[in-house]
Amino acid sequence: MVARVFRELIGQDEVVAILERAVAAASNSEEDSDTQGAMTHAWLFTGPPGSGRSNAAIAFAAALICPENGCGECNSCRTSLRGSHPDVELIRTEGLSIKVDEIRELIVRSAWAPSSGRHRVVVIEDADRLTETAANALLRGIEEPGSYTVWLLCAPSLGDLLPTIRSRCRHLQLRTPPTSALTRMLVEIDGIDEVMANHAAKASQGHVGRARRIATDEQARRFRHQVLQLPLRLTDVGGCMAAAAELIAASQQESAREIAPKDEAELVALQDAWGAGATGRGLASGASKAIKELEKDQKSRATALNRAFLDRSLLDLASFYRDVLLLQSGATVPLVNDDMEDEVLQLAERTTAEATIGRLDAIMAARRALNFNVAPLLALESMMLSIRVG
Amino acid sequence: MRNEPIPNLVLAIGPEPLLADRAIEGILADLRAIDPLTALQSLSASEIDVGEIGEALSPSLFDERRVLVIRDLQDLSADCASEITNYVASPDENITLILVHKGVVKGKALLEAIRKSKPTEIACEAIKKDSEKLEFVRAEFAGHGRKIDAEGARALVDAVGGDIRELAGACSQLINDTNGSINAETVERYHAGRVEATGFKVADAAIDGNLGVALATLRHALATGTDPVLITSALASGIRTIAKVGSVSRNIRASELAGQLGLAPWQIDKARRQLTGWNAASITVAINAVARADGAVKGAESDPIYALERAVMTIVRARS
Repeated sequence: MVARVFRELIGQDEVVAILERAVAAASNSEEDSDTQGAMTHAWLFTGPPGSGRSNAAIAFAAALICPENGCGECNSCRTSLRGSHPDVELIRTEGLSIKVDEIRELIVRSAWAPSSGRHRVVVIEDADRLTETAANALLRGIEEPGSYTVWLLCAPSLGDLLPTIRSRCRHLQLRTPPTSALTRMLVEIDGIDEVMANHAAKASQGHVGRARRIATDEQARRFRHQVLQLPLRLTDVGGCMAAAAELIAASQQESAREIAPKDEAELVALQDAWGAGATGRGLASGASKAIKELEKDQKSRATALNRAFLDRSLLDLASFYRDVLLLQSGATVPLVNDDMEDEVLQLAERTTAEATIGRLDAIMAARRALNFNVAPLLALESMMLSIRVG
Repeated sequence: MRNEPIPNLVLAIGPEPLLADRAIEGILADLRAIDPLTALQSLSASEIDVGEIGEALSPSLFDERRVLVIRDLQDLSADCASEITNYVASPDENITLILVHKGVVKGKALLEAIRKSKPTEIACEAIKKDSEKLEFVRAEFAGHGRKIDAEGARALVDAVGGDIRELAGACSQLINDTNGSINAETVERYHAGRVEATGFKVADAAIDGNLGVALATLRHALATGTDPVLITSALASGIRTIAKVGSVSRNIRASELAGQLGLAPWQIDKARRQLTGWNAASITVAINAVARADGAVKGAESDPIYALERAVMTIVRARS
């Protein structure tokens, strides 16, 4: 019987089994030969984006804290999952990096005794964004943990972390959840109808959050469709240049749509904290500095999110050419973009498999270029022009 | 040495920092001519804590002469402003307070309050236009009792006109190293071959297929401190423009296209002239080369200058 907190981990049966054994071992005060060595103080969750790395880590944290080993219903479980339990510290960054000062403070806090349970759990959601000095600072915390402390790190792959950190953690690899498991999740947990759930599961290519978004958000579906229409428009230089500019603008709009309400809410909360709307002479002194800092953070977050959206659309585009290549090579694997079957077929007949591979290369080159901070418009123009040539 | 008394309250106002610095140096020199031990203290308004100004302006034990400079007055926090207004209401005659303000709208209330105490104002106007730079050069020479003719001034501004500080440095070098009246020939002797270059000039030369000029301008631009990133972005924007303009019919008037392409009419006319020798294939090669160079100058490769030269050469060769 799988504990309730682990049920949302779609298609990760092996990992869930290991975690359950660890939770059982941790809750047994007496050494039990069956679970001996199943628990340790530092874990590393890796897996492709959307496979649920941080969800797995948070569920594990909740199970460790919960007196019932993860019932998913008690106060402790609910607060842990929401990130407000005093003994579960969630380090999330929406900016581009986690700085060393943040980690130094964190290490001090991590050694405090837990307030209720047997553990104090620190979850670092984007351990790949640790700066090198921050990672080295973290090393000390992981190497000499307090007796209650459990570290849970999440990163896309092992290569994203320093070898010194890697070697001090027990590693769990999550896999891309299969389409069938995603579809089942959307139908059973989110109450989406079967056809839409199936479409979203396929289109998301195994990304849980994205599958939900496609299934529930009309605007996201439209954006994806807009991206997938681009390949047919790359007939001349002007079309390529326009397509690049359009993709940048559209993904900016899409990321702004997600982030604007958050920005707004944070600003209002901060202004309240500095006494906006209270009686007296307006904001307390120091408010404008705090607001400036918030705006700086928000800008860095917007940049990161915007990049993520752009990368996402490049992956969508790549999935389109993947489908083209499938048809060209006569493979019988199902298409990712079954809603675009006509367009895929059209391109598969008109072009060669060799050109399709060249186009996929151009898309991957553009993703690398964006990672190197090449001006996005320039990187995409180069990509679109290369796709046109094939 | 001047005859008028040295002011106790000076307001240097305007965006050009060189002129403010000169005013400060001048006043300090005058004061030190009277008392060589005159102390100078400089504060930047954006970093001042409450109380710091009051402390700096409080009377000293031995009544020595002091100069306090507060820069970026427009950034002074409101909490500290009262320390200045209180002081100017009852100034200390041993202190010369020099306030440097960028001349922006910010901090206007404080300016008004200071002006009530009738400070000596020094205008530090921006020197941006060529005519202003020429006038500045003439004034520099005139200030040292020297003369430069119109062509000489022109040549000097062309050679080092980017930054006013550099221009001032070039003037003082010529004043010290030469005798008599200065003309274009003298300037040429000292600044031969140096041309103010920007990424846009590099881009224009490359797009016109002028390899020698493009590479030389690139080196000039880098040597005069142009950021490599600005050069790749200029190259990208140049090629982007011909790509956009090249994909619409030549028969449409530039003024009608301007809105549609997001370009100014003169840019469209210029791109149309540049279009000779460019086609879809060459534009693709050129954009790819610039994208690669942009990655290279941002750390994908170890030698940004080589990457830029390679991009310029690829662009020129792509043109058929």
